[in-house]
Amino acid sequence: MGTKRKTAPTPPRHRPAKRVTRSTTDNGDSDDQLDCLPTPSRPTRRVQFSTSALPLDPLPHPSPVKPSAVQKSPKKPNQLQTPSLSPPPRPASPTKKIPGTLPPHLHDCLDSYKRAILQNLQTPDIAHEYNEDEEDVDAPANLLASQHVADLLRGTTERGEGNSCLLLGPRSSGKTRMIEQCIAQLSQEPIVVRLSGWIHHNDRLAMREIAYQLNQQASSTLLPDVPDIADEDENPFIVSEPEALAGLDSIPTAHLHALISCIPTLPRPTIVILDAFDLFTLHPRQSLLYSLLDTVQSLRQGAENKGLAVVGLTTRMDTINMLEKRVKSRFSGRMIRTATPRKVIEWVNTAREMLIPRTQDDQMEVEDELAFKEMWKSRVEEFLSDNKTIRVFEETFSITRDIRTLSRLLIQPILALTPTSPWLTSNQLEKSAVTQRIRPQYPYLHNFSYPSLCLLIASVHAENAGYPALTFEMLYEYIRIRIRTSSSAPIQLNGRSIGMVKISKGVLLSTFENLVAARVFVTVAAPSLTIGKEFVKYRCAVHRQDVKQAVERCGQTNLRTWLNKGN
Amino acid sequence: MTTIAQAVSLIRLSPFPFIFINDITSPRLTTSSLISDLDSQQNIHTVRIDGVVCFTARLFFDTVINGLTRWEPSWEDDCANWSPGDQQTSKRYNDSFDAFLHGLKDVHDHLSKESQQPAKMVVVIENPERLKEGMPEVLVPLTRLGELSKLDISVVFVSAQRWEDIKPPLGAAVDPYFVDVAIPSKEAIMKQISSSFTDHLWQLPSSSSSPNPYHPVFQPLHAQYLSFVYDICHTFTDNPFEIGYIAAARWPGFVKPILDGYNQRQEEAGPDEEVELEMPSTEFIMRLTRHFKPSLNVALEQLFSRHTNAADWAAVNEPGESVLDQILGLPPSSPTKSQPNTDDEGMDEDDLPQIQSSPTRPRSERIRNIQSQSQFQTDYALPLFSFNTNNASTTSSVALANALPRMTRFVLVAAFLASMNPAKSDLRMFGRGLDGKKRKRRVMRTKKQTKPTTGPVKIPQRYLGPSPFPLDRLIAILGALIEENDVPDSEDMPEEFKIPGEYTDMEIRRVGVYASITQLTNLRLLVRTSPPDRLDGPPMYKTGPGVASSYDDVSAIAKGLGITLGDLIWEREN
Repeated sequence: MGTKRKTAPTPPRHRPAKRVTRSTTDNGDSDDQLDCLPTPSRPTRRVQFSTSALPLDPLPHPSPVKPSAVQKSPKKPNQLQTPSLSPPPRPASPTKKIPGTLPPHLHDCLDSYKRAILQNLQTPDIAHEYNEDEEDVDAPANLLASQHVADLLRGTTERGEGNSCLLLGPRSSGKTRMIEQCIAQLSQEPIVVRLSGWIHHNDRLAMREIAYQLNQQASSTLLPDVPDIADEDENPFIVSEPEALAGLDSIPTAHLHALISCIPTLPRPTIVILDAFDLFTLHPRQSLLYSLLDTVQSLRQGAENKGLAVVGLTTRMDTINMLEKRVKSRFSGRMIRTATPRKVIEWVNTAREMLIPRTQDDQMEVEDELAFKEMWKSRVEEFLSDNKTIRVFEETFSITRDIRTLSRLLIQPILALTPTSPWLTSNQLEKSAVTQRIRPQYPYLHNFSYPSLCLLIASVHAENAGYPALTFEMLYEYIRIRIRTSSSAPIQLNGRSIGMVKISKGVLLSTFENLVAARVFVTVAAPSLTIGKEFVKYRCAVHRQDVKQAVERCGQTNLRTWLNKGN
Repeated sequence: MTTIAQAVSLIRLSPFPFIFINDITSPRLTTSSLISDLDSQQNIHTVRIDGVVCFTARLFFDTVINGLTRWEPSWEDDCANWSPGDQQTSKRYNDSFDAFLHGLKDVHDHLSKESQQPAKMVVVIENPERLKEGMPEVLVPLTRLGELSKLDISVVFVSAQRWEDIKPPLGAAVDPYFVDVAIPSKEAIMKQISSSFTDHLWQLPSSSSSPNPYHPVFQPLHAQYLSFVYDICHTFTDNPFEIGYIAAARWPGFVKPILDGYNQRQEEAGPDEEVELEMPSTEFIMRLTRHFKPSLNVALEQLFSRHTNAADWAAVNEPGESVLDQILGLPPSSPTKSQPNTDDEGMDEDDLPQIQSSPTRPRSERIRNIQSQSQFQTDYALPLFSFNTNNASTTSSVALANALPRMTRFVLVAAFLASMNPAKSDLRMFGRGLDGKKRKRRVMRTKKQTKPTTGPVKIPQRYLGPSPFPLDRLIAILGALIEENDVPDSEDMPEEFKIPGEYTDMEIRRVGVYASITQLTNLRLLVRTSPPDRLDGPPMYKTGPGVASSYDDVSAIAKGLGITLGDLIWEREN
């Protein structure tokens, strides 16, 4: 994992290469991209042609491709085949001809691109909009932070220092990634112990895991590094594994301190990463933190001891206040902050980084592939400068700056790519924004079956009548009365009564139970043995406005009149 | 591209660590199709976890590890869990989440070694809401499984509930990639049903002499049949599983007339003549569907609410020999009914075990008549839970009425009244004047409150279910009921009872009454709400869940005793 990443030391060209090597062409590529960032002096050719007309893809739901039909057909006739409301196709740009459907020999390219992009989406790198020359703008927090952390870790590994720090930052602001990158850059490979507050609920679990991880990493490198066995005897961790693990069970927590203080005697420097650091502060007496930080603080530079760094990662800003006094006094107090992107443009750039996968240079690039790469690039640029796309990005950015949300937004458009509609469209992005961003509470409410809708309407009426806690009996009564009154009218349409269809109590009860399983109805009180299931109290989780909209949309007149008219 | 196919291609191309599939209609079928789609892909190792089955963390960890490696613990092997083959010592992967992660690493190494390429693992979890209830501490790490284990593993939750309902607090879990499965359309449902229920049943046209309902000749008919079933059922349910279940239950009966006709023709034909089993004509199919339409409605009612299972239902509702004649419009050749919906294998009235422990005997002819009328159907199984369909409710209450002694039935009705009526209404309902005449008191109907009341609205008792009452009140109401309905005529009255009501007074103090209350409590038709060791105050009871609390059932029982329940309920609308 770690060896994959190489970050250039200077911030503006900060582009951790996804695939190990980086060649001159690749650099040129990135220069090109940096140039075309939408800085004020940006009105470049691309912006102009993309705002003029947007080639929306006519096929949101692509059909399976027929190889015979996909010969490099010109784009225009293909679009005319399907009627669509999208704007007319963009007049072919003078330089490139981009087919609407993909010729068969490029299908593999598309597949590999999809794969690469999806991979990118899971390891997003924030592209910072930052230029060293502009002095009035602060450098992005993450760049500064990563320098800090790198310095700190270098101190530990190269000079044997004891260091402790906290990485603070909101979710998905790159805390874990940063620390992993910094570790990967270190000249000497340290022992890394990764703990997580979500797993290690108490100190004993954490100790066991520390022992396990130390054992895994230390024992493998022990022989080449330290040939003399004398060291081993002193070190309680380097026992054979089952013994150590078995022994740890019986070690009282009081001995923790002694064990942890032995960590610096290991043959290599150690970095302890505490994910969800705030949860470790909830452990009784914070003894693990105390031991770790005390060991860090009392570390004296000497030949025999290696360095130890304790890095806590947390989103909780007041974590330092949760430390006990004795723990806090041993903590160095270094708090390094990470942040999410500050501008929309950084999002867009990040999206671009993710959407244009870097090809491996040692790979033989066939001509087709190069052609596809060019087409893909220009289409991505179009996609990113499309008004709708920008709007979706801006909206999302104003809600959350979580990069993972951006990745999730982009997944669905990528998945929807097929040889018949091989390019990203902003329509797809819009659709995916609906499902991935702020989700509608019950997206398919209007498609609910007739008994379910009846139950929902009955619950609305019951609530109107002042009964917020519903029982099935109550809903059943409402529905029964309604069905009776509606069918009492002697009017017939086309030989059929216009009344509501009868529902038997058994069917209704089953439907009700399904809705309870889906938590559309939520129990108010815990069910007890002595209460029959028709008398258990529930509350309807669907808001009445949603019920109203759903009933309007479902198009059943009977239900609509019932909802509007009242009982 | 369906949503499930998209999810599959996402996993195939590059597994997103955490995917949440929300399917409100049929999460089970969705899980199955997801698993089968994933299994057809190369080098993806799946495991299906049910949150109901894996109710502890240990079970969960073991099931995941064993499932990914397709390891089945065997009894001879001491039911050992999977452990990597090259190591003699069996490691334990179920101690903690750490151990589980180590186990996953080992599994990954093992699988990668087997297939010579890095393995992808997918953990599909259905009913994840149960994990939240049972082991909330596992849920958060589970959503971050890929990050924690640093492996190519993705976790898929399939649930009818929304992620917002399951999500652990404090934003601890990462947000999943959401997949919403739409409520299926008709085509999707039909495809789903035919693929999951019957596709494997169609047999090759083998030499079997007796054709069965799954003869390939019927395959086109089955498609028509499915759409016919769908048309009937889709108003009430969208769940392909339920529709398929009903269709599967009715199919053998549906084809039976055709098979009967074939058998008849075979009998009529000579021994060496070959009779072809062929598709019936369109008109015949129409007659067939018309004939079976009502029985499908019955099937919907009983099978959708799982009052019975498909096999039993099919056996009970199997069409008789005469159905073919009915469909063809011929006069019935045999007098058997086509739809034996009811079990009429009742015992004769004389054999009925008459009320054994009742302290009272049926007095008047009227009562005797009522009783014998109600006993035309007997079913001695005592149903403790009300069958809610209309016909079933009467049968269950009739069965109950027959299983219980007469006095116990009075107690049951009294208990229902005590549970449903407010105590303050008792005097009006059952009170008598000094002259011994029952005052004619009309039942109070609930009136609309004219002025708005402050505070919470009073919910009618019939919506809330039974409320507890003290034993004394039950006895008092029982006395009133007996006095009204079960007093011996003046010539039957023993000499020593002079004062009106004295006889009833004696009856309700009998040990048998208390014994029947205990009996009802044992049957959970009554529920004692006060703890048994409390000494002060009378014990409190209420009617138990099921039959005893259902107005329809109790009123049927009351009718058997000659009581009109509707008149005695305080606030009965309509």
